[in-house]
Amino acid sequence: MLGKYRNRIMVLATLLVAASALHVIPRLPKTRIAGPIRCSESATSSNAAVAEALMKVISDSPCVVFSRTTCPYCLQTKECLDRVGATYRVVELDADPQGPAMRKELASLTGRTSVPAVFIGGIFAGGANDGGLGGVLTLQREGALEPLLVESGALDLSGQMSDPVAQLFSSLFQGGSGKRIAWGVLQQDVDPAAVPDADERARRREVAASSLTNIDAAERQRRQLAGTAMSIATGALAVSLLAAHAAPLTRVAIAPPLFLAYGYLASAREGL
Amino acid sequence: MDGSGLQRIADPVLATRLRTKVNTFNARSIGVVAIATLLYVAVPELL
Repeated sequence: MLGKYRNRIMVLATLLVAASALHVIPRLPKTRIAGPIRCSESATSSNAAVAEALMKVISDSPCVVFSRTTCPYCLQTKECLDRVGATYRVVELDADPQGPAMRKELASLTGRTSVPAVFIGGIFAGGANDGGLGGVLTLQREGALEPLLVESGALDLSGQMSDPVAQLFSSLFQGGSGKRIAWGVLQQDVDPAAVPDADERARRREVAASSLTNIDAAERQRRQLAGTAMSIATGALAVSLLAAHAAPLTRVAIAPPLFLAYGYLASAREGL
Repeated sequence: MDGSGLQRIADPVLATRLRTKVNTFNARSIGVVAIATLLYVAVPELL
């Protein structure tokens, strides 16, 4: 008879164990949260102390990342900040005794419970791809991350010219030398009589800054002309190579003139 | 850019944004030319 109900008894026993476990598990976090908080005052005071500590970390650090050691988005965010060369502070919430309490305070501060939570210059920048100002990776894609980091003091760009390529270009094309760029690579003397007055120069710099361009209209026209000429030459070369049944490896010779043609035309279009 | 010839960009933030844009532009140019060359070399062989 017992055998007949064995399966039902097993299911019932399993349910009882599960219910028991469900009853126990919710108690665990309370113990774990209450234990690590070092303040001896009431819970409200402890929360206030954590909130105060949190605000101090945020306000004292040019950039701070609240993270978890196992979170892939946190890793991406830290890698992104490393890539741009930022100096930042990391608070690993799962490795900090006050982590759970800090996470609660962060949630009330940002309206989000997820990590990473990144603050730059005291402003909530978001997580990896969302929240706050849009998230660190989003800001980086839009070119807005570096300015924020520089402004907050988390990124120092003064040493950037130490990279060899930048140094080479800096020595080839020196600012304040009285020269201007012509046809992309050549340099011409600037006629002092043709230099606009200070107001006009300021206006042009403002236009260039807002459109992120670094060559003037005359140079863009020259590059448009060079690009058109190179395109015609590239087209003629492409046709003649095909007509001559040139070997595939020989046809790779199209790449340099094609690069110049595309480069000049795109440069004229973009103003770079 | 302002008519006075080559000048160093004083604003480091602007310089960084411009550098990023130029680097992206260069990378895109290399990619476009590489793909176009590859097509020019490979497609006639397939026809």
